[in-house]
Amino acid sequence: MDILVCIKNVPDTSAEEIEIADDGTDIVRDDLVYTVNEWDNYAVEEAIRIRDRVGGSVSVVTVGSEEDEEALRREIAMGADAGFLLSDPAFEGSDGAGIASILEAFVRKHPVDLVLTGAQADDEAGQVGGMLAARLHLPFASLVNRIDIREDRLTVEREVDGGNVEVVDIALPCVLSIQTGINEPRYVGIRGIRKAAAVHIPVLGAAELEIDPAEVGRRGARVLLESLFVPAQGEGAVMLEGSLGQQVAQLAAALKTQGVIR
Amino acid sequence: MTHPVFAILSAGGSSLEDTIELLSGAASTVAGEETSATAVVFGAAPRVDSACRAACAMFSRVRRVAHPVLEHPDAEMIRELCRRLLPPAAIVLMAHDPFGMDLGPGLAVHLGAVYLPDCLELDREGTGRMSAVRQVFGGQVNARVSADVTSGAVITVRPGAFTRPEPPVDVSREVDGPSVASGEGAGEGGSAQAGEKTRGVVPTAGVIEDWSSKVFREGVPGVGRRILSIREAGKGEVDITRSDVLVACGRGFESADDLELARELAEVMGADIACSRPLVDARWMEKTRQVGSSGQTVSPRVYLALGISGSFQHLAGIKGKPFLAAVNINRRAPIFQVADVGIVGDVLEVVPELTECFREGKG
Amino acid sequence: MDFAFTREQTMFKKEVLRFARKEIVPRCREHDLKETFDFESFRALGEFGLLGLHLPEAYGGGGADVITTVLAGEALGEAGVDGGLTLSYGAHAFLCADTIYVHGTAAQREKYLPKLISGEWIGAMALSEPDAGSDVASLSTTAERKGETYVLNGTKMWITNGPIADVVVVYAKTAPELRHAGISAFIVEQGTPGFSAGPPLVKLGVRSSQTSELVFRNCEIPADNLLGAEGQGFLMALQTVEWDRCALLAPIVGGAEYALQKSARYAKGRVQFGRPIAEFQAIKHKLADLRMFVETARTLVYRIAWCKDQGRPLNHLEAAVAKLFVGDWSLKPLHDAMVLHGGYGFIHEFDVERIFRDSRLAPIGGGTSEIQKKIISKLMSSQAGTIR
Repeated sequence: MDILVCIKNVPDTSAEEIEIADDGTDIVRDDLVYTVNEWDNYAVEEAIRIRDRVGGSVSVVTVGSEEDEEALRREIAMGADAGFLLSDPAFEGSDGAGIASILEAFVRKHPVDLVLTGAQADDEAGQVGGMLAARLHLPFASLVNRIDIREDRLTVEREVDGGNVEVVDIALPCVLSIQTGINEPRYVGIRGIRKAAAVHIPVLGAAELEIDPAEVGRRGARVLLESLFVPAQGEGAVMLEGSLGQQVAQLAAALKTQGVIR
Repeated sequence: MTHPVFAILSAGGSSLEDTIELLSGAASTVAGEETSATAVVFGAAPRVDSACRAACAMFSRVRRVAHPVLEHPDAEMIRELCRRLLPPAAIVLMAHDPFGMDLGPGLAVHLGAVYLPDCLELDREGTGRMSAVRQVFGGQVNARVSADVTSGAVITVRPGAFTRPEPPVDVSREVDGPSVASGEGAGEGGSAQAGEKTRGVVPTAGVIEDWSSKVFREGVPGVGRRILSIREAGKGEVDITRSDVLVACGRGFESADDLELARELAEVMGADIACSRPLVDARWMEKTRQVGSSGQTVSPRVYLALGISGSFQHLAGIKGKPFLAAVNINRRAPIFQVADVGIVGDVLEVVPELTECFREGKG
Repeated sequence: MDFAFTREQTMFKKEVLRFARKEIVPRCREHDLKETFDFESFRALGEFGLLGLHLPEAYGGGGADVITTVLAGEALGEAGVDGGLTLSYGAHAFLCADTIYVHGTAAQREKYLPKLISGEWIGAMALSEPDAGSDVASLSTTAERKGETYVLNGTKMWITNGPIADVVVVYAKTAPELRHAGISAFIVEQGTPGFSAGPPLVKLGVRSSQTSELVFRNCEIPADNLLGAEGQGFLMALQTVEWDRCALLAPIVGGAEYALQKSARYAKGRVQFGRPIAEFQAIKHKLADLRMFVETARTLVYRIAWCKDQGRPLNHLEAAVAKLFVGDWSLKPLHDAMVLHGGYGFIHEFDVERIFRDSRLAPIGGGTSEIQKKIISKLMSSQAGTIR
């Protein structure tokens, strides 16, 4: 089975206190470490496991700039067979629909049996997988946390409300968005990195992909980022102050007032 | 140009009442003066009928789409039906839940509409534009985006972000409902008329139009996907949905061993232990302890969130407005946006001290 | 001259940081506190490929160059891995496994390397004795040839991994009448009759590593366990100095980087007198001094690694400067990092006191600061001290 995984290189913000840049339309990225979007990493691991089980190949693709090549290389080091960087000045500033159309153009040139994406990335939109599927007229399932292969079809499990699981039969080829927890992604060792270093990663632009530059990037975007701002804390939120001991004492008092330990 | 507004509901979805309220709130924000929203309810009888009645409480018009194949809300199927049913340039609302996330992006592509996912706030901005507020970067930062909606929009709305609009001041309704009108007769024209009559006010009972035969006239759409079954979540040794006080642990705990600290605290507090998703992904806690949209929905009196950033998926699992206390190392963690009281600090330091505080208080 | 890391090296460092932060660091504090060895983390290091990073792939190693290997050690420190675990790793990989690789026969390599590289076995090196630390030539442990065996007698001291080692490279005199030239190296396995380890010593720092004395009382080992030839032991021990001055110093440099990052963040967030303490000049100076230490130490350590990669013989003056600098000049900035944190700097949870304690081994282990100064002053007056 030939599998394509769409990945994104994102800043790791989990432990960082994000600051907003002066022009108000981006975050301060200087000190942030970039890494493969967590959901995408699960998707690549799943693709590798499927390939190791049934044969075939795993390719990774991203829309981005030169710096994002590292993310592709990392996933190749993890076990993917090939990587493709879709990069062109015309792609800059694409909205989700733009990214999906660039990926669509790529998939039309490199048909595969299965396309995986992460369920979401740093923009928390969870949109590219579903859009890509629709553009390719392929069936789609989001939030997948299990994949079983049944010849030319898959049985997948989707996480739905209340911890329930939706068991879905889906035809191949199809697009799935992968939820974290589907597997335990491996780390990349030195041998993998060395192997990945030798892999040529083609860079494909609008011309190679036969994309009309006016349809993508800032020009084609119908959704524009106006500004970023730090959300206000809830009206009732009292942030405790003082020494750690004082804060803890206040917290304990507040909890007791609420009737904890009656 | 006015854009007809539609709210997509699945009769089989969980927390249907909440979704109806959410979408009617969002609809009243985007519908503006000139139009009112139509709810479209997909499902199989008899559930679809009770869902339609529930939708009538908040929408002036409800389109009923019933068929046995809609027993489970399969987004692939419903997307195809939406294409048959929705007029051009519509504003289509749905909840940002596993159903909406499945349905929305592809529907936007098929309708040629923009997609605005997971919106917290929505505003009309003159003709053909709309702005929305969404969370990005783990909820630490909000983004205001604006979109060209001349060709319509598909919008998924953050559960809980919109509430039922203010009650009407000038109720001048001529329609007594719920009543069922024929799908054949009630087309766009009928809708516009109803819109006139309910301008600017919120209806308390709408008209149900049955669109089933119209939508299925071409037969059941062929889609490449089929829901085989829904597997209900198992209940663990402790049913956290019934807990009065919960101590919930998140990523702030760096190892499975550290969770022992939280267990000790829970014991002296008389609380049960819950957790957020990453601890289940790491296999440190049972799925049955997970609070969130993909876990359990809890309604305790007191909720102590330890090292939990507060993603909306997690917060979606907390109902009934408990007293919410939060400890997190990152002052920008979104949990502090909803907490009643918060400490910025490392859980590994705070938790043992807190345990000690309760022990002393007890003795 | 090229001071840049390759793309692969940078990528690998990032991966080591990711791995260590997630899989190793969360358990470090507890093991440091309780002075217990973290077998689980050690095996995880093996699984990840660090224990044999510099050894050939044929034995399960990573085949990495010295700079990459040093970078991995630095990354462990920077991630927040305690100095105890990194010391155990260093003694295992560079003082034991590497010696077996460089000087061992094919049979010895086959037997020991795969298990040392995977982490199934833990290695140690036994050189120092109660009365022979810096003065290596005065070793009193003896190895007497008896037919197809050697019989070892004597006591070793300060042996990292001593109580937990499965395999120990032991230095003993086969010709007690000779000084350096009488020293030979042997492989001794745990469980060999006559070989025993003392209880772990309680230490100021590097507490999760297990250090003890090793006692050999008529300990009989097969003659095949001789490493290299008789009388080559001193040169073998000297060869480990190369690793000691780069790969074993690297985690300390990484630890200082970690302390720096923590301090900078703390200074930014801690508000006193209405502003972050980072805005006070006294705090800025402390952070600048710490940065200066880290950058200089890094340059010294990587130069040694680079020379080893180039196949240049170790410049003992440079090595001594590096060792002395990391040992002595880390004292003030790491102390300042602790003080900068106020009360939090003095408690266990904040790690800076642990980094300070761990760094205190650097002026002692593997050659004291006094010896380094002696080497520097001796070589400065000779041709050997010229920087090539």
